[in-house]
Amino acid sequence: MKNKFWFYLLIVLFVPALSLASEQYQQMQTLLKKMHKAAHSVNYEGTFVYGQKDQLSSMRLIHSVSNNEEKERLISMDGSGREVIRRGNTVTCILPDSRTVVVDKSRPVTQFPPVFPMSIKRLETHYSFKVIDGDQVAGRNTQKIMMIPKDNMRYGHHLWVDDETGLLLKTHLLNERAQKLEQFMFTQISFPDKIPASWLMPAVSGKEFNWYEADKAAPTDEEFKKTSTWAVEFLPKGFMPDMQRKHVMPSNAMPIEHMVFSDGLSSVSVFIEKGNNDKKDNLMGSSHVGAVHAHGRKMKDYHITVIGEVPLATIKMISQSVRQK
Amino acid sequence: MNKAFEEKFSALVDGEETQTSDVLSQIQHDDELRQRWQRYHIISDAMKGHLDEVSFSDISSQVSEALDTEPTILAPVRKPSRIQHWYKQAAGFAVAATVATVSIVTVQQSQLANNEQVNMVAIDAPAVAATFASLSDPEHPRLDSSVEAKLSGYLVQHNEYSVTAKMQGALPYMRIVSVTPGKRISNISDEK
Repeated sequence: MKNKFWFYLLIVLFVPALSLASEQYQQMQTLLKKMHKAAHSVNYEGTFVYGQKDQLSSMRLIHSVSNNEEKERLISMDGSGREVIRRGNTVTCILPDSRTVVVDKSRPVTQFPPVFPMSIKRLETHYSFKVIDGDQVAGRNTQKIMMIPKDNMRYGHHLWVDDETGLLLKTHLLNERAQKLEQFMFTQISFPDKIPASWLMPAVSGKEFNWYEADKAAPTDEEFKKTSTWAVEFLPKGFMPDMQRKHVMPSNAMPIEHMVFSDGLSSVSVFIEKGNNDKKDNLMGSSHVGAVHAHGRKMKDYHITVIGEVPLATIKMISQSVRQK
Repeated sequence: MNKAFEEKFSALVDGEETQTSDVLSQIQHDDELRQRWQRYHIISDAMKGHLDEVSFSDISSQVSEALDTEPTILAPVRKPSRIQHWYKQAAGFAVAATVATVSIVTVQQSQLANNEQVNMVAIDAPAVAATFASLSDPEHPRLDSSVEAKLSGYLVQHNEYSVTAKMQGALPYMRIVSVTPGKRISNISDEK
């Protein structure tokens, strides 16, 4: 009799809790999928501000989709003239302030629209979620997704998603003390039916700049996985290998190894470069730009650099765990 | 925890090369150790003068913001139960502990500042791409522009393959595009 009582109590307590939880889960999954789809399929043009620490900068972002091809252009509005253009299988960084153009390979486009990259199940183990009505951003109604980490090996993410289109309009990245590390917010956005080709052209020809271009012939991920001798022995909880490849950097003829690990939301990259120990361009120790941390160290004949939008402690744990098989 | 382990743990926090596998494997599996790993890094950063000043008025608002964003407990318990009472007490202790940690860090940092070991120096340098600030080793206080250039290249490749970039398109490139050209600020330590 007594056992039965506890059994019913459990049902009474947990069934509503479970359905509430699964409702939030459903809501978030739907919203994230909508956001992912919008990011790749909506034409838009807008101005946003980006802030980290006490620095604030303003940028313009243009995104167009036609014939199943995405073109994106991000332009500084602070006078440096910097631009990043993503199109087809290349990323072009135009840096007039250092008279440099860097053309690198983008991740291969295998299908359009791309596959939804998140696993919400995996995410759920390390973050708790909440979806609420958000404030207006750039005059538009939003839903706010809060992803709160359950430990301090990763950061918290708050996302404001446009009700109508699903486009991401604002984000906060928060550290373990709930302080904002980085934020971005659209101040104006429009959704033209067609984006004029001229909007996606760089402002400078760059003829007089130094150009660095990536080598196009590198082994594919699958071929490479079989030959790689590197691994990360101890990953922080929840992090799993996402990808492993070889890449030839535009500024360096030697191929580097690149491994990516993620907990479903936050990603960390490990770069391994051979025989470059005495070069002064290697990062030794720790560094950061905004919420992205990096750590570099020597290991025998190799140099290891770890980089990602996670706390430095997480980066260092991964860096110390790199082993040669 | 034995002394040998303690020594290895500290060496690892300082980035020294040691036989680290067992320590790392314990950090991976032990929640308490993981908290310590994180805490030691905050303290070590503060001692090197890399943390922002945290004022006490900030802390209370951060704590309440953190509590606001805490997930709601979903089980529909109407009356405050003994467990809930205990939970609240525990939460109170946790908040107190956080405040204590932060105040230690702040004190240490202002002491350091008084001892003129840490200066903020603006230097002219060619802006290469993303402005990476150095966080570490006194013997490598600021990043050379060639180091920055290489890191920026890595950041491009990281951006291409990170989950956030797949979700948000070109947005993560804001870290490369947003730079005040010409000047950058790094931590320089006089200590050698």
